[in-house]
Amino acid sequence: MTQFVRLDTFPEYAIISFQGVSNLDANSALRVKAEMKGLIDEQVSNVLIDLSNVSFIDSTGFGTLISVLKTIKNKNGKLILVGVSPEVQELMDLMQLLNVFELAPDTKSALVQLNA
Amino acid sequence: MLFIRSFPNNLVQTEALAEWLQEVAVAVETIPYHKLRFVIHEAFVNACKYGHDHNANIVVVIRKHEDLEITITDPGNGFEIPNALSPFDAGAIGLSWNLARDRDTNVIAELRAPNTLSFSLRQEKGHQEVELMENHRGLISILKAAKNLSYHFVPNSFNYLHITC
Repeated sequence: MTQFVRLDTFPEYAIISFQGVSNLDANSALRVKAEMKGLIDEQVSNVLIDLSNVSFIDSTGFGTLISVLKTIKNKNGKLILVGVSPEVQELMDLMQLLNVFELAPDTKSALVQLNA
Repeated sequence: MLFIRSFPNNLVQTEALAEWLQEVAVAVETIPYHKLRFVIHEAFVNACKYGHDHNANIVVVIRKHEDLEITITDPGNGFEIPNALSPFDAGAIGLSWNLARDRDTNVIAELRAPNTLSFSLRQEKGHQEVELMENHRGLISILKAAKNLSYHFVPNSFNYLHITC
């Protein structure tokens, strides 16, 4: 079965991106959650999630992201959502999640934020 | 303006729902597509998850008046009323209870009429832990995006969720 989630690891951080998934919703979120949990091992503490290909997130998808955030926080790491579309940002605002997640427009800016 | 469409009771149908709502959002002009999609998607997912009759279609009705009135059929049993009361019991009218809580938000359910449950959010400070609870997560999401949300019990027929945006 094709993986939905791709993980690229670097010495200080890892980048999670999605392949063939434009919606993080009740249909995809459980599988995405399981794949992400399997990929984020003990070694990874700082994670960037690239959402530039994601056009819609529902409450199940936000629940998945919150679950990853908790895992990363428990490891004293940092989670940054990268390339979040204005539409998804509006939904995050509706759900009062903009102050919960750290956002960056692109990977370069996210790396600056990681090292801040 | 009136839009009606029926979808099979299956989560896979959220894609077809999203496509249809793109056309609806263009026609009604009063609400951005992603917000309309979010609200109706959450209600549809709830109806699929809790609906017992998997052969029954889920019907989405959207009426544009001053506000947008959205009605979605629910092939499930609806919400349990405390003290084993029936939603049709006149003696239960006025009963309200805390249906769910999520971070610093409580969902209050109130039986306003013999068949009508109204929902509202009540903020409560002091709970910092970030959470999106599994149960009633969709309901909380709709409440955060909509003006009004109610659930209507119908004897010998499907119940329905009514949303005003």
